Amino acid sequence: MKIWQLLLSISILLSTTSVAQVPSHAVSAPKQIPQEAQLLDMAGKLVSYGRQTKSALPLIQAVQIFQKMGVVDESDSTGLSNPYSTDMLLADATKFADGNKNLLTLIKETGKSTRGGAIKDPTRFFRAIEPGEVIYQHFYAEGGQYVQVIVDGQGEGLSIHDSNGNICMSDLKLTVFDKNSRVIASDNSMGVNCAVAFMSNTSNMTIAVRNAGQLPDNCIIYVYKTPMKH
Amino acid sequence: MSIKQLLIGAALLLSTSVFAQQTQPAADVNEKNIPTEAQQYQLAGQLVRYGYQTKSSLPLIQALQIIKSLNVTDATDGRSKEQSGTEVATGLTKSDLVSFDESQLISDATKFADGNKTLLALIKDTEKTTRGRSGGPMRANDRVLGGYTDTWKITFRGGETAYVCVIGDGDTDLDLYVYDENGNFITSDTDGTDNCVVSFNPKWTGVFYIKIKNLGSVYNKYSIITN
Repeated sequence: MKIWQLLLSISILLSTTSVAQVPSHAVSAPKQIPQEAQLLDMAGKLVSYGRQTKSALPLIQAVQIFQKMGVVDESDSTGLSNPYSTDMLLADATKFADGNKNLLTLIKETGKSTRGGAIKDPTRFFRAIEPGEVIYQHFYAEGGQYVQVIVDGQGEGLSIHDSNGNICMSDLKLTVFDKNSRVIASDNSMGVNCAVAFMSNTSNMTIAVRNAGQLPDNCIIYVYKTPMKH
Repeated sequence: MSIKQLLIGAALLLSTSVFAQQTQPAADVNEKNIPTEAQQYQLAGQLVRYGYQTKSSLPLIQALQIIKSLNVTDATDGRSKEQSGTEVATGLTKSDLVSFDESQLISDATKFADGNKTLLALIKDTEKTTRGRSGGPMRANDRVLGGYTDTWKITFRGGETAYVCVIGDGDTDLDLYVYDENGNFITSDTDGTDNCVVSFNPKWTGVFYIKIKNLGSVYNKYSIITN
C-alpha cells in the first residue's frame, strides 16, 4: 500500500469512528413509582426537613399523611425506637412549635385524629442498615393479594466526598423472596427509594434490603397487601 | 495539485472537521448529589400537588413556607423557551386546578381551610413570613402541551454546581434532558413521574439547553427552577 493510500484510509477511518462516538442515549423503560410510594416518600422527606430546620409544621403534615394512609407500625425486635412513630413526631413538633398557639392547636387536633385507609393499611418497619449489610424482614401474604413493598431510605441527598474526591452515598437494593427462596420481585435501581409490586401466592415471604452504598442509612419498609376484588 | 494530493487533503479536512465538531461536553454530571435547595423545592412542589389533590390547606401552607424560605424569585435572566412537537389530539380535558403561583396558593389554601381558624391563622403567619437569603433560585411557571417538548435556553456559571428542578401538575410524565451549547448530552431524569431534578458541574460559563418532554396526551403545568 502506498503512503497516500494509507493516509487516506487512516483519515477516513478516523472520521467514521469519530462519528460513531457521538453519544447516543440509551433508552430504558421509565421506572413507574406507585402513588403510595410517592406519598410515603414525601412524608419521609417532610420528617427529615422538619427535624433539620426544627420546624413543627412539616412534622405535623407528615403525621397527617401517615394517618391518612393508615400506616401501622410493626414492633421492632431490635429495640430501636421508631423516629417515625406518631408519638415521637408530635413530641418533636411540640418542642419545635416553641409555644406557638396555632401550631399547638394543630398538634392537638392531629393527635386526636384516627387512622384512615382501612382498606389497605400499610405495615411499616423501621431499620438501620450499614454499608454492605443486608437486612431481612419476613411477612405473610394470602394468595391473590396485590402486594406492594416500598423502601424509603433516609439518606437521599446525603452524600459526602472521600479523601480521593469520590462521592459516597447510600444505595439500597430491594429483593422479595418466597418461602422457597425464589426471587419474586426486585428493584436494583440506584438510590435509596425502591418499590416492587406483585400478585402473591399464599406464602411466607422475605424482604431483603441491601445497602450497596458507602454510607449507613435508616430505611423504612412499607408493605401493602390489597385483596383483589372478585 | 495532483488527484492524490487533493484526495489526501480532502480526507484530512474531513477528519479534522469531524474532530472539531465533536467538542468536549461543557459539564460533568453530578449524579445523585442534588443540592439541598433543589430537593426542598421538589418537596414544595410535591406538597402543592398533594394539597390540590386532596383539597387540603396544610400542604399548600407548608409548600409556601418552603418556597419563601428558599426565596425563589421569578426568572429575570432573559431565558428563552421554544416549543416543538405535535400535539396529541385526544379530546381529553383536565382540571386546571394546580398552581405554583404564590398568591394563588394563598388564595387556594384559604379556600381549602374552609373557615378553620387555626389554618387561617397559619396562612396569615405564612403571608407575613420574611423571605430567605437573597440570590435564591430562579423560577418560571409554564405549561407544555401533550406530546410537545419545551426547550429552555439558560446560562449557567462555570465552576458552580448547577441544578434544574422541574415539577409538574401530576397529570402526565415529564422527562428532563440537559444539553450543552454544542448539543452534547449532559444528563437527564427520565423516571415515570413529572418530578425531575438533575445536577451538573459546568466547566465554563455557557448556554445550556434544557428540554422538558411531555410524554402524556394532555398539557402539563410545570414549574422549573434553577440556580
